[in-house]
Amino acid sequence: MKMTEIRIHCRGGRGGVTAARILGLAAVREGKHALAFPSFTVERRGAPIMAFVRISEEEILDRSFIYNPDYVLIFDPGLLNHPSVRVGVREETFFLVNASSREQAASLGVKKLAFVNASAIAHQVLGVPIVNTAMCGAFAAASKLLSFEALEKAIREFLPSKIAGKNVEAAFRAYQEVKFIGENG
Amino acid sequence: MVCAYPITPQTPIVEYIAEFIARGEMKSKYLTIEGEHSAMMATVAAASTGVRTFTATSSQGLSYMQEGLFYAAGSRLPIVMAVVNRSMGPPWTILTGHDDSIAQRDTGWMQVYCGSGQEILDTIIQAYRIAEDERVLIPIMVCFEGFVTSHCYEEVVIPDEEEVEEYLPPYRPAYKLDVEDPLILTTFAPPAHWMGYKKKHDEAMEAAKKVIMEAEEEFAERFGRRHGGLLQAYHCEDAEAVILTMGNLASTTRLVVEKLRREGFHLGLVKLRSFRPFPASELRELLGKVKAVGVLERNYSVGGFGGAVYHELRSALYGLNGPRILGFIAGMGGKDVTPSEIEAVAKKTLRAASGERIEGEVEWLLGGMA
Repeated sequence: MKMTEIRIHCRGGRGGVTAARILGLAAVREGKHALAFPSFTVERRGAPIMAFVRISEEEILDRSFIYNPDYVLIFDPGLLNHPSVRVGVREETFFLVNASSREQAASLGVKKLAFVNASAIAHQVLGVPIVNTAMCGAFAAASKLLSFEALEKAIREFLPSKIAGKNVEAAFRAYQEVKFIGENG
Repeated sequence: MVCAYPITPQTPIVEYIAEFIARGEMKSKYLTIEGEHSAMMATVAAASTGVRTFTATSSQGLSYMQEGLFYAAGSRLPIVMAVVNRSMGPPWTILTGHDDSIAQRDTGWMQVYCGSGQEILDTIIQAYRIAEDERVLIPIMVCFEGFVTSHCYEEVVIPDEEEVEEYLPPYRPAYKLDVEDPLILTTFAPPAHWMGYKKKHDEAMEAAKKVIMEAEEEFAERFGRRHGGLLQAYHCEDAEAVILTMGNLASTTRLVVEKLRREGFHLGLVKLRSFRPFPASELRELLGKVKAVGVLERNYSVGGFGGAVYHELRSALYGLNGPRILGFIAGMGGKDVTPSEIEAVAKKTLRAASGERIEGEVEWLLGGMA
């Protein structure tokens, strides 16, 4: 299997780095190799940050940042127009975005695209604007790279038990609600 | 005894260990303290009483403890310290570079550089074996990149506790401060003796090379994993050009070396793990007949003419009529080093190996967006 490279765009303090770790752990629990690491530039809440995940059947040697992602995950609709999300993307790069509507997601103008209203799910299920587990659920469904079982296992392993259940619920809702736009839909 | 002062990006180490101790999972005292200078001096004091110690720091915190670093090394205390490498400011940064620990080269500590979670864990275990060995008795820094390595989540095999205890039995110090059996440590040395102590320290550093390899061999036998001890060489047997680097750059470089090998280039890689002791004779043996070496490193000696590893390798190979040595300064202040940049480094070194004239010995890799 070819290596899969995922780039997460988030804002500091909103769970992008944790999402990378959960996705990496889920892949490892499915018997694959994974690396998940953050790219901090300035460490402050609200600043655009990136986090990276590499998943492969083989040992992963490349420890540099991800420049030509297979998947771009945008956690904050406010980052849809941020130039960093388009760096190094190809026509076949798949975008998964947190957006409140199809129109908002489609404004990205890319060929392969799916969206989920992760903010609404997080608000309703968790009561906080942390969209990471919802985005992980949407990713599992949209990419078919991870089973929901592996993702659930990773969430329960990674998060404190008192919030894990609700986060699995948020992930599952997003898993069901994610919608494809354009070519895939 | 664990005593550390939190500093980014070392902080999670301190947080996790404090938690392990608070939950009773790790049998140790944890001493909270007001800064790195005190952290090192308290660690020196604890180690002087004959207990096993650990501390961790980064960057400005490491430089703040420098006086204590000399105390620890001069007292020949087998302290193990994780250094989560972060470049020295200003300009301010919290991101990686090996310049912080390289600046402490002459404090008399051993320094090992690691590039993955597994390597760090295994090396910390080995570090106690090496430092506490009576042929050595020298403190050791286990260094690894901040964020890109320290905050990288990956698979790590956690060895069985009993097996680790067999590999690393409880520490039985030959000398310690004991009210029942008094002795004096770190006392004044008159001119007739002072240099003699330094000579003995250096001899122990030399002896450490053998101990490092023994620790590696026994670790490999028991746990089935190898990291190389002093260094790890890939494809060096028939290499015309070799890239020499430390830490996680060696991993990405291996990818590039494998690719260029498939394309027919006679390229090798040396992952230098032990910077102190510097494996000069081992490198002479390994690289003496190679035509060119490219040293890729995350530090630079301002006002010198290259990075520290470049300087040391040139010294080690001097007089051999050995390889052309090129320097590449990269990955400081958090700068990413990409496979394509490393490929350019490799191609340039290969050109030097083929006898092509190369202008300038040292190149700074400043391109790219991150």
